[in-house]
Order: sequence, then structure tokens, then C-alpha cells
Amino acid sequence: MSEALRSKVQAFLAPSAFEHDVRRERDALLAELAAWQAENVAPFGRLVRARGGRFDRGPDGWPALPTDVYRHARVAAHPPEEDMSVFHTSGTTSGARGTHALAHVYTYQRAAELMAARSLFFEGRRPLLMLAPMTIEAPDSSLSFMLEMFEATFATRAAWAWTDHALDVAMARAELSVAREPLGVCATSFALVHLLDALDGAEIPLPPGSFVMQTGGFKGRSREVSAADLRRELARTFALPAHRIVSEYGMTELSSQLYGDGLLRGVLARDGLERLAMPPWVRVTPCDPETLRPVPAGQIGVLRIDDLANVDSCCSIQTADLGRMDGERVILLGRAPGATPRGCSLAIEEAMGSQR
Amino acid sequence: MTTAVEAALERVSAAAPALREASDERVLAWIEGALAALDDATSPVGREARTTIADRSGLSREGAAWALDTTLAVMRAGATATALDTMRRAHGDYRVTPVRTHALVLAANVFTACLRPMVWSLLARVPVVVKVATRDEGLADLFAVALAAIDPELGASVAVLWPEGKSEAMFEALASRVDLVSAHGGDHAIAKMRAATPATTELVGHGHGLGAVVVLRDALSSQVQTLAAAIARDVAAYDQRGCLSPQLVLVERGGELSARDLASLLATHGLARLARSMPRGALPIEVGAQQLQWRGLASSLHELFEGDGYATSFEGESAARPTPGYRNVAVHAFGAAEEVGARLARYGAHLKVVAVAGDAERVVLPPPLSPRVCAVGEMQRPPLLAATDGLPPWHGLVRLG
Repeated sequence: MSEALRSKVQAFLAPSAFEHDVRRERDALLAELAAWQAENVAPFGRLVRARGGRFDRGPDGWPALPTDVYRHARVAAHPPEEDMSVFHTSGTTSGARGTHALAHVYTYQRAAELMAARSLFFEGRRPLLMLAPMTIEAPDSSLSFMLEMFEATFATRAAWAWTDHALDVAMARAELSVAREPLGVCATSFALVHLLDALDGAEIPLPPGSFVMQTGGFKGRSREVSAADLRRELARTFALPAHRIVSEYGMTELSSQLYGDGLLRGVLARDGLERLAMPPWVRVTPCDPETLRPVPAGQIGVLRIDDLANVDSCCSIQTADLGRMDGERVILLGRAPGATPRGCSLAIEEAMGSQR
Repeated sequence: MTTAVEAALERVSAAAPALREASDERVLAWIEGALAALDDATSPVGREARTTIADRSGLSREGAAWALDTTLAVMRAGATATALDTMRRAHGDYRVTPVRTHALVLAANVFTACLRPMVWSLLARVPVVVKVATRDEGLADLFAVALAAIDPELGASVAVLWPEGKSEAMFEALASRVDLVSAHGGDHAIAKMRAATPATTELVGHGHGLGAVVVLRDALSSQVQTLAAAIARDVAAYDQRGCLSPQLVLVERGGELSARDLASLLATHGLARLARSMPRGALPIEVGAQQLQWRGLASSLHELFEGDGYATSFEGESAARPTPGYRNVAVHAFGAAEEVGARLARYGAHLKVVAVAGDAERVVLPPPLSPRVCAVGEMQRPPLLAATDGLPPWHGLVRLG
């Protein structure tokens, strides 16, 4: 990609971006990046031409690329031989996997590090327990890549309770039991459910100041548990206040992450719904699925995410997730609350879903 | 829970002797009278079917009226008598005995789906308890009311159960007390029902399904607007939510109109017109999220023709992908009729109907594919005698001795 543009984006990804209102600069840079990507990323270019995008009217002026496209086509501004890292989605029941190819991982790393420092590790370095595979076992997992970065950057020491593609319950239990200083537990939701099932109601109080970061859905790998129930059960099991159970929202198709703001604010919202904070280089817009326009403030829409850190693929991503805004924060409502009855019509959920 | 099931079964079982001993004339007059009441927009049940129940269906009023009218149309003009006669003759010299009781389990996405199996149960003289879904639109109830109004004695052989508390508990109570369960719903739901059904009860499952349209090149030379209009009817019916709804259109190469141009015509001529005369119902936001993905992908990698409330895509020879329904359909091209079987084989028993435009003899579908094959425009109007999932419509209702 254009090195000048990459440099501009990398300069934007700085701690100072958190201190000021940078939305105008962000949107201007998004327009510049999107215009460049429309010329150089084939599927995005086709979408922009088909939908008549313009780059002089702010991000609402051009369409966002559906996450599904990453499952069907290469979305990259560079040729495959220049791939430095390739992340894959964990797949869906239909078996198709999305692919996000990066020519450089620095931007990804920088974005992930800055936001994690701001949202999870602002209380300092700490021991970490990972309930997820390392990259040696999951070389194409963006989550594993990010957690290894956490280990390198934020951990005083780290343990990975994962063996042979499965949660190592005995190791997880042992690590949790011996914790004497505030611990950070980073895990997928399904791994946490497996752990809770294995603990069978037993409590392992963690030192005050510990937190649990949970991410991702279940995808049939464990029983389904609502976000509220999982939070409640984790808080009880680890004797932590509910606000110290933090959701991370990320997807393979993005380079940035959103985090529940409970840890930072020291309290969970009264309605019990977690608010996700976004980094200043990300713009989240709930959209009307028919008009593609932003819905009025506070209304539920389908989330479009513009992520400046997506320099190598497409910075404007149309997710299949529903949510609404509360000021500058996002309330994620998942994929299909109150799903309509589908009865005997063909199940299509396998076509959806590309969260990491 | 059990009490409600027991009460319903006690009631329908008490009416069973009258149903079995009633003359054909009486039974046919009873069923046809109730169907006529539903068909009559000025009758109380006909009015309610077109208002309250139509609104619950999620379809537009026009869409619901079309659905009701076309469903009832295949049962008019002596169709029930013909059906009864055909069933009798189908079994040759066998002694035919109706089973004692039938539980019909419905899914709530095609509001007229209750009528056909209820009519068949009564034609076969089998009392029926209909277990509706929590979000059922209410047509089964209305038909039961109409039946009871025409002939109260026979009408007692029909009961409708609404779920109370855990639907699974009600199902288990029901399945353990009837001879036959006809279950409509998703594959997962049917698998769970099958597991909860005792060995002494037969379960006939009607699971996930879809339809496909095949357009052969000989159908692409003239009357292409009529063809597009007919395909559009199949797509727009029930807002493409049913198991008979087409999810893809396969078009043979070499016709005077290309597959790409048919996709365009289907949108601009077929679906656009229906969007005005029979608008789509409201789009649930979670389906909207899927539609965004589907249409966006079509725009990014293929070609999309979209309008207000509908879209078609032309996806060449690429592999078919699921659509969100709600009047979004993909058009694919293929080289020769011999390829159709291979293209559709992946759907197996889920393929419930194939509409063919052109010489249907050229389309050979390999086992185990056993869809109903019909003309375009007729996918959502199965005749009363049409096979269901490869089985006679009275399957399970009678035993041969």
C-alpha cells in the first residue's frame, strides 16, 4: 500500500488520540484510506462502484464491505506473496472460513496494544492466565496473536492452560488456585463455560484486582450461556465484582478491538448492559439494514465498523451484529435477538458469523 | 400440562367413533363447509383470517390474502372428494384402517401450513390434536372453530393446543398418547421430537426444506416476461420464508436470454411489480443483518439487482449460497440439463420442490432427491394430492392390513 498513507495511519495510532476529540481527523483519514482501498482492493472497489460511493461526504458516503466477503474472496491491497500474516476466522457450521491477510502486522499490533493498555492493563503489568491456544497451536488465530502480544507487553508471567486443541482444566484450576497477586484471565467464552462446567459450582476466589477478559461466541463448542449469566457465574466463581468481567469485541476482519468499559469506570451500568468503548481510530455506526443509513441515536441497527487500522484490506466493515449507541459507547445485542420463527425453511445461520 | 393434553385427547377420542362412522358425504360436506367459511371474506372466520391472522403472519395484508386464497384454491371444486377417492384406490385390495389419533405439530412461519395436514387427517377419519407454536398465527384454531360450527359432533374430533410453559413437556405428554405424530419444523427441533417420541408412536418429520427453480434454454426464447413474473410469484410468496420457497434459480446457458439478463428481468419486471401489488412484510432487523451481508457480497463479487423490498443476484457458475429469504434470490448459470442433478444433489432430502421452465423431461434428479416437480409459479401451491417429502400426503394416517 501507499507508504505515505500507512505512515499517516500509524501516526494516528498514538496514546494522544485518546486525549482529544479526533473524530474529524479520523473521518478524513478514513476517507483517504477508503478511497485508496477502493482503487486497490478489488471486492471493495466493485462494491463502491455498484453502490455509488463518494469519499467527500464522510464515512456515510461510501458502503462498508460485508464480513461475509472475507469468506469468499481475498480482501487485500497486496499480492499473496507479500502476506506477512494471515488470520482465519474460526469458521462456521458450513465450514467456510474468512481470511484476513496482512502485509504488515505492526499496525495491528500497535492498535491492539494501545487499546488493551487503555482498557485492561491500565492498573499495571500482572500475571496472565490464557484459556486459549498459543500461535504455535493456532498460527492463523488473530486472538492467539493478540494474547501473545499481551504476554510480551503486559504480563509479569503467563500461563497457557490449553493442550492439544482443548482447555487444560487441571492446569487452569491449578493456576487459578495459586494466584496470590491480581491475575488477568483472558479467555474465549466457550473455554470459560467449559471451565465453569468442570468446576461444577466450586468457587476459586481470585485476589482483589483480578479481572477476566472474555471474547467470542460459542459456535456450538459449548452450551450457550447468555452474557449476563456468564458474567454472573464468573463473578461468583472468582469472587470478583461484576464490572471486572470485561468483554472484548473483535473479529478477524478487523484490526482493532472494543472493550467493555466496566473495568475502567469501576462500575457496570445500572441496566446491567455492558458498554463497549472503541479506540479513537474506530467509528461504529448502527445502520438501517435496508437504507444502509445510520439509525437515529439510541436505536438498534446493524453495526458498521470503520477501522483505520485495517490498512491492508478494507477499513469499512459491515458486520452482522446488532447494537445501539449510548453516546460514544456501543451496546452489543448479538446476532439475532428475538429471532423470527424460521420453522421449516432452510436454516441459514451457518452462512453467517465470522467473529473470531 | 398433562391435563390439557389429556383433556384434548379425551375429547377428540370421544368423537372418533362418529368420525369413523360418518358417511363420506357428511365428512366432505363438513370439511368443504369449513374451508368455504374461511374462503368467505364476509364470514366471521374468513374476516378474521384476513385481518388479525394476516397481521400476525408478518406478511403484508396482500401477501397474506394471496397465501390464504391459493391454499384454499387447491381444496375447492371437489378436490377433497377426489383426494379421498385417490387415497382409497391407492391401496388396492388392502384393508385400510385409520390410526386412532394424530398429533400435528406445527412450526410458525407459513401460516397456512396447518390446513392441508388437518384436512388429510379428517379425510382419513383420524381425530387430530394440533400443537401449535408459541408464535402461531392462529389459522389452525380458526379452522377448528369453522369445523365445529358446521358439524359440532364431528368438530369435536379436532383440538388445538397452545404451548403452556415448556413446549417439550407438552410434546412428550402428547407423543406418548397418540399413534402418529406429524412434526413440522427445523431439523434440530424434529430430531429432539424424535428422541422424545416413544417407539410405539410413529413420527413423520417434515424438516428443513427449500426449493429451486430450473430454467431450461427452450424456455428463454419467448414469453420471458411471463416467465420472470411466474418465478417472481414463487419468490415473493410467503416472502420466501417457507420450505417450498426457491432459494436459487438455475438457468441453462444457450437460450435467447442470458442468465444474467433473466436475473435483471426477474428483479425489474417480476419482483418490482409484485413489490407494488403484493408488498413484502416488515423486515425483521436480524434478517436485515443477513440481507446486508448477502446483498453486499453479491455487489462485491457478483452482480446485484435490487429494489425496495427485493433483490436478485447473478452469480454465474459459482457455488450456491444460502439466502436470507425475504425476496432475495440468486440466479446461477449452468451448461446443460445434465448438470442440474449434480447441482441440486447437495440438498438431498431438504430439496422439497423444483419448478422447471421448459422441457421438464430433460431434468433428471438422482436419488435420494425426491422433490415435487412443478411448473414455475406453482411452487407454493401444492395440490392436495401432492406428495410431501416423497411420501403420500396420508402417510402414517392409515395402516394396511
